[in-house]
Amino acid sequence: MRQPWTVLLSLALAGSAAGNERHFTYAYESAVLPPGVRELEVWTTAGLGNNGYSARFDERMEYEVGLTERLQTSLYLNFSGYSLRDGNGFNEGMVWRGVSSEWKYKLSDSVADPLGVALYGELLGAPHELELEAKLILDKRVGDWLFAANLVLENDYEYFPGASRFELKPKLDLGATYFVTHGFSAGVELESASVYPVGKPVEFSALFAGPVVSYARAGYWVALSVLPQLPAFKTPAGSATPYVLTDYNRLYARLLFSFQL
Amino acid sequence: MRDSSSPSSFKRLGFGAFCGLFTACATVVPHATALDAAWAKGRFPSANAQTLEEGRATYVNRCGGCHSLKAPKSKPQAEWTSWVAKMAPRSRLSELQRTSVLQYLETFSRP
Repeated sequence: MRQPWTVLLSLALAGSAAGNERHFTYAYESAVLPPGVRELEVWTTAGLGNNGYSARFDERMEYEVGLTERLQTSLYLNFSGYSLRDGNGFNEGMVWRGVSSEWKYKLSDSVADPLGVALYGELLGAPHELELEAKLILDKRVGDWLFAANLVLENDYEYFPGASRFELKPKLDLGATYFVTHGFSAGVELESASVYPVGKPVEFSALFAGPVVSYARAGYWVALSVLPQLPAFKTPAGSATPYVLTDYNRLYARLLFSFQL
Repeated sequence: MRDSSSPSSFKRLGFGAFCGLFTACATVVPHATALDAAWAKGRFPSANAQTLEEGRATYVNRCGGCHSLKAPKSKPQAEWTSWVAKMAPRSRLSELQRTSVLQYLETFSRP
C-alpha cells in the first residue's frame, strides 16, 4: 500500500496544465485562454481585523472563456459576507456586490517574447457602485522564475442619495515566484493601493506584502496568498496607527480555485 | 585593497546586468530558419519554414494560454509526441494544428 507522503509527492511532481493557470492572487499574468476553452474560477478573500473587530469574506464566481487566440472575457458574480462590532454588539450579514465583466487582450507572451504584455479592462455594476478598472499587465518567465507587474487604475463611483463620491484608485501589483516543480510554485506578492478623491490630494496609500503559492494539475489549479498590511506610505488624517484601517483590513488571505469546464 | 565602487567596477556591473537581461529576454521558443526547415523536410515531407512558423504560433497562442511554455529543447522528441497527444484535446487543437505543433516541437528538440 502506498504511504500518504508518496502519494503527495507523486501529486506534487506530476505534470500540470489546464485552464488559464495563475501563480499570483493579485497580480495578473498576460496569458489568455485558447478559443473555446472555458473555466470556472472561485475566489475567496478573507479580510481580518481593522478598527475594533471586523472580519469579511469577499466571494467571486468567475466564468471565463477564450474568444480568440488573444482575447478572453469573463463574467463575475460578487458577494460579501461580513461580521463587525458596533454599538449593539456584532453585526453580521451578506451583501450582493454586483456583477463584473472582464476583458483581457494579450499582446505578447511571457516565454516566447522578450516581455509578456496584456491589456485588461473590468466594469463592475453594483446597486450603489460603478467601477471601471484598467490594467497594464507585464510578466516574464526566466528559467524557473516568473515575474509579474500590473499597473492598475480603478475609477470608482459610489452613489447614495445626497452622498455620492468619485475616487481614483491607482494600484501597483508585483509578484515573483519560483517553480519548485512544473506544477508547484512559491513566491511573494506585493500590492500598493492609494485613494485619490477627485480634486483632492491622496487620502491614503496602503501597502500589503506576503507569500503566495500555486499548484496546478490537469483540469484544475489553485493559488493561495496571505498578505498582511505593512506600515502605510500615507495614513488617513487622524489615524492613530501606521496602517490604513478605515478602508482595509489588517490581514488578507486569498484563495483562488479554478477548474476547466 | 581595490575600491569596489570605482567607475570601472560600475561599468563591469552594468555590462554584467545588461548581459543577464539580454540572456533572460532571449526567447526559448525559437523561430524557424532555413536550416531548421531543411531538417524538418527530411523528417516530415510536408514541412517547410512557413508550416514550422505556424506550428510555433499555435504553440505560443494555444498552449501558452493555459500554462507557461516549455522550451522545445526541454524534452526529447518522443516525449513531445505523447505530450501533444495528451494536451491537444484540452486546448481544442484541430488535427492540422496538432500536426504543425508537433512538427515544430520535434524539429527544435532534435539532438
